[in-house]
Amino acid sequence: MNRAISVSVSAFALAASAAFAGDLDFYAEECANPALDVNKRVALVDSCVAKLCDAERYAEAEKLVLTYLPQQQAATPTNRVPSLLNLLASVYVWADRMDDALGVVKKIGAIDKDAGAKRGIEIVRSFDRADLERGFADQLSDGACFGFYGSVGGAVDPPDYMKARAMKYILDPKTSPSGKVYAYMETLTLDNSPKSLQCLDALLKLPTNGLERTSFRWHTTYKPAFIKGDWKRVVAFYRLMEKCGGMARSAADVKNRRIYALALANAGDKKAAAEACEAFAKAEKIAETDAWSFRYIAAMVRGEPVKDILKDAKLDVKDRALVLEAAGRNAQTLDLPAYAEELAKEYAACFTRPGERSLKVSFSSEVIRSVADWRAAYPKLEKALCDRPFGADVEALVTDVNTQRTIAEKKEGDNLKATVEVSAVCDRYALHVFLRVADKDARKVEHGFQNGIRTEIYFAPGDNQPYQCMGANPLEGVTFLMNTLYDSLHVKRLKIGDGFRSEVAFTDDDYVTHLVFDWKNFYDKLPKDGDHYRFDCLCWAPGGHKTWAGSRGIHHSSDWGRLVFSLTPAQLTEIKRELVLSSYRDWATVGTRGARRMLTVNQFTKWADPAVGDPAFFEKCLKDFKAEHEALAKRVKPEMDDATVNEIFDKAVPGWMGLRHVLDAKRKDFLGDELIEKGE
Amino acid sequence: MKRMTGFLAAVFAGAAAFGGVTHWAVDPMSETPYLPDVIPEDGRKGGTVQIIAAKGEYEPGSFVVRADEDLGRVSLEVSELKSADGKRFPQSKLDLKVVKVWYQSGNAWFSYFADKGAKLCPELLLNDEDLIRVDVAKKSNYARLVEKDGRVHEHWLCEPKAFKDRARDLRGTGHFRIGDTFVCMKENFRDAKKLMPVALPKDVSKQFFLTANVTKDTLAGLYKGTVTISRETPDKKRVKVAAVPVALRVLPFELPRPMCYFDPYKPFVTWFCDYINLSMIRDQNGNDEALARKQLANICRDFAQHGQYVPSFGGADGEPEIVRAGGQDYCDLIPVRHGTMRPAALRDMRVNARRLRRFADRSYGKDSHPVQGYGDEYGFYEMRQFRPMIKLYQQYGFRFPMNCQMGYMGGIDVADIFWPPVTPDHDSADMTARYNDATGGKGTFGWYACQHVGVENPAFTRRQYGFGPYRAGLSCNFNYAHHIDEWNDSAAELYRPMAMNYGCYDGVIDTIQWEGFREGQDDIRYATVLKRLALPFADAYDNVEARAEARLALHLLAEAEDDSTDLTTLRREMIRHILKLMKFKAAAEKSAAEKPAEKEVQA
Repeated sequence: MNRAISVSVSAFALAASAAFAGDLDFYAEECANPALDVNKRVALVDSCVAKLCDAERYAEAEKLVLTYLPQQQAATPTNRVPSLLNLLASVYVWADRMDDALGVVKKIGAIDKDAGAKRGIEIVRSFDRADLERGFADQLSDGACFGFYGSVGGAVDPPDYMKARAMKYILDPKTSPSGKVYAYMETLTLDNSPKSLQCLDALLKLPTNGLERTSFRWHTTYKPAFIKGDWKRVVAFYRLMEKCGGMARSAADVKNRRIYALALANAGDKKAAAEACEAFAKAEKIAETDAWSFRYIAAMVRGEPVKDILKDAKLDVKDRALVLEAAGRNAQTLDLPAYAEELAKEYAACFTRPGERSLKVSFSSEVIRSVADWRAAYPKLEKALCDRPFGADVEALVTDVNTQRTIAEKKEGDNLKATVEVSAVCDRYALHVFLRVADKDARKVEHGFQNGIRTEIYFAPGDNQPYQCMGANPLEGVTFLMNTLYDSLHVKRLKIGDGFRSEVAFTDDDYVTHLVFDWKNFYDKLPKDGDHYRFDCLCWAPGGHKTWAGSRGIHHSSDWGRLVFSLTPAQLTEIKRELVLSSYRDWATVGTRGARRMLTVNQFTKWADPAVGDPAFFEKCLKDFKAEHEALAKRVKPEMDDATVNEIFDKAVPGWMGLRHVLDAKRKDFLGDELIEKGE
Repeated sequence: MKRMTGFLAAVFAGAAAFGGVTHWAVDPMSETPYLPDVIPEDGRKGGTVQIIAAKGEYEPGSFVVRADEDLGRVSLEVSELKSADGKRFPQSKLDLKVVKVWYQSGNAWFSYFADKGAKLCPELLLNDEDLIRVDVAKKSNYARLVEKDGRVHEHWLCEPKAFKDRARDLRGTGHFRIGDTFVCMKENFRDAKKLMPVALPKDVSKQFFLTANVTKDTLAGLYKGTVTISRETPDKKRVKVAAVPVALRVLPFELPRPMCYFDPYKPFVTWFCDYINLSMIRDQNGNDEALARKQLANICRDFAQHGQYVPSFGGADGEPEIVRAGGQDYCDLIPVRHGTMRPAALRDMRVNARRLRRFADRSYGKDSHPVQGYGDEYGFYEMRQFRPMIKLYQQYGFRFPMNCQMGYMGGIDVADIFWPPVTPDHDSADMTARYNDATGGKGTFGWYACQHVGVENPAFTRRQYGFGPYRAGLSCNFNYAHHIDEWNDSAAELYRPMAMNYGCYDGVIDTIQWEGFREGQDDIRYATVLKRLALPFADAYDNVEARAEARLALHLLAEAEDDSTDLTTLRREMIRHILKLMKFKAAAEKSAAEKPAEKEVQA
């Protein structure tokens, strides 16, 4: 969504008007000052009345205007409406007195019919009396009404009676050519009723003589018609644009010409489209890239090959890409997918992408409990710098209200050369990822005198898996964690403090963030040797935003790199052993969350109970499951051999660790059968 | 051998199966994307498609089919469903669709953030699977266009971002949300009216949705039938290859509109920020106004059928005929966009407020609660500046929605509807409870952004708009956003197209996540029935059994984990409790009805 809207000046006026109220009496008296000339007095009256009405002192406002109106009337030419007369109408509107306001409108109309009619329309609209509007609209002269409904009236869709009036006006032989064009442009531009199209035809038949100075607002006509895919209308408008001398520059505008050519082709006249493009490509002073754009359109609408069009073109790669981009876009607008795909390949070849990144993750038989443990293992680990630029517009990220991302403003002395180094290792409990920043001013970062590097981390346990987005800062570690899906049998959300944690450590020369991903979150996705998880680290650094893998945007999963595991079967079994040992004991006790934990109840005891459970369900669906898993639990011993570990892991751990979801699935089927067959 | 057996069986057994065709009954709201190479291990092989629905509900069942040899094109036909005692559930109320698997961005199924990769993802619900052609070698989708003269051609739906925007030359015109080169709502792009034959190649899983429209006049009971799958032989004979059994249980009660967890009589409202209005539809249909009105009416109808009862489209307040013809209504809070609230001099703001109030009175009655909004994601300082404006409009009976990020306390004195970017689950429950306390339960607390619209996973969408916010104590969904265009998923920069469904000639093409949304609303409706039945018995000490059952029912909702409980399981548990409570209620009403008679006897 868009950024917070900045407060308008009017909002401050709200406060200002309140402050002014205290001086209202003084200024109202000042209006009577004989030293004031008419104009100054009128200005003062105007200001006073506005503020009186803000304060809902309408009677005083009315009196003030009526007192000085005759004076202004005497000083105003008889064919001009005194401003205080308009102000009086406004007072009545503000006071919610419509009839009185319309009474003033009659007086305005007696001086200037159009002014009165316009005012009348504004007033009835402000009272939500659209039923009265027609009466005033009919009073407007032709010259005034179309413009009023086209611009002031908010002319996306004027009322039907106004359109009917415009059509009559346009088809009247007595109406001047420029008047016809004007009326159409203001009221009928996107109307596709038969009569309106008849009017458009009539305009196209107008002689150029008489339209030399005519213009029309092509921004609100020609362009919307193209946006709406109304090709025939676009063609008609362009031809009309050409007729109107005042639009010569617009007709020559290369973007308008391109739109015209595309519309011609889509309206079915491919021959004319190609011919137009050839002519446009030869226009004087046309940019080289635009000329090629027209040549592409011509070739495509003729069905000619486009492969070597640019073979001899003298364009640098940037301009070449621009030409191909326009050609591809035009191919799509023309619904020519074969051309579009061919051009897409050629366009893609104008850009280079760095190769995919990977980082080796080896197994440590020593448990990595902290940054200190990691430092001991550090020399043996593969490391990589986050040195690829972040490939998207950082400013646009402000619209992402989901992620608690803070990109800090620079502080004096920030280390602009610092960057993040990534390394990873796993042990039998968890995968550990370390983000280290070598910085001789690390202590200044620690104490807040300098910005460190904030990071945004993406992690997924394999390809095509739900992922997490984490936000970390040097002082606190990970403070934000976004999961993509909810929990299910094969998806486990990470929670800070439950299955995932982070810590930070500072020395004089560096600072490190340690991310710990417990294996219990991925018990059904444990990596074998050579398998990988997906990862990237975005670094919001004072010296420029960088990434490890080269993400072209936030959450760009296809760009992430790979954490590639180097694990022997024995090491994998060590991981499984820990999971077996941690899950075999109280697997049946699926408690409720945190403070909502009411009672620790063994799930099978609960379901077997006739009051709070469902003994029929227990007998049919759970009894054997329970027995089987309890039997496996009994085989768990501290001295289990690897074969036993692997067997129990495969047969029991999915049930132990996923019990809540396994039970849900069994219950779903059981209840479905009961409800279908018995209706209860 | 298997093939030969199948062939001989077909020859000698006449209508017997040709080749091996296996089906699995699956949960339509499964977390598993049933891709062509996926065997539904979480489904029931050979099982019955079970549909359990209350009166006034649309409810889907689903199944996956695989053949062990290429069967070419097969037809699927669902029979009328019949009960054992002769009741009929007509075919006209059964809608069978194929789930189209096509290429979406690399983040499909998981998140709404953009990604330039492409992967297969099930999403569209189609009658004609050839409306979209998927090229696996190119990882691309193509829309089939059929012109009036019969010419058939395609539009490529996976062009790179640079090629996508037909409005690139026209910046400053039109709406920034409309610009796809694909003009999707013209007559040349439309789905068939009923399910067409589908291709069933060897070892390719294909999923189908069967939706039952259980109207309020449907009699309760068990209805059974079959989806017959058949193929045409070279000599034009139709041979049955599979029969998928279907069972529909119509429950003996109706569902009300969704209500809140903390007050089962306070509406739980769903709006969307949307990019749907007549002008935008005309951007997609070649500028045909009359057609746009029909398309909008179809969209409203589709949305109402999917549980979005309150219209959110631009200008909805000015189109009551379209809204009501579509089956939507304005509920209690009407976003009046007839004119917009904006800071101005006090005198002018009063005029505008009165004008809008008159419009609301005329259109929706003097008791209506029109809504006027201002601004977007502002901070406390900005809100403080226009607080006087909000209060002025509130004097005229307007309700004010606020979505700013500053924390609800900054706007607690003025926000009638508060919808910050929070997750719709227990992580927001504490804030929700405080807001509900602070407004005496009269305010409306919603959410958006976490996550925005876009995730195809129907189970996720179901939870996100249904039990998640419901159980967390929210009273509103107000997410961003509904689009009708944006058929290209891979060309976005920051966010994927936010599509719950997709524009086409007849209105919208539905998706499995849109079905998920409806299931979420229906979950709330079932929970509402349960609470309304249970609460009166919760302290009924004169009816011990009823009280026990009521407490078990309320405990079910109280203890359900909003972020992990299987929602189909929860739904079925709720139904079980509802049926039990209905018996208690009926017995209690009967007892109460008999009591005056007893008194008369005694007298």
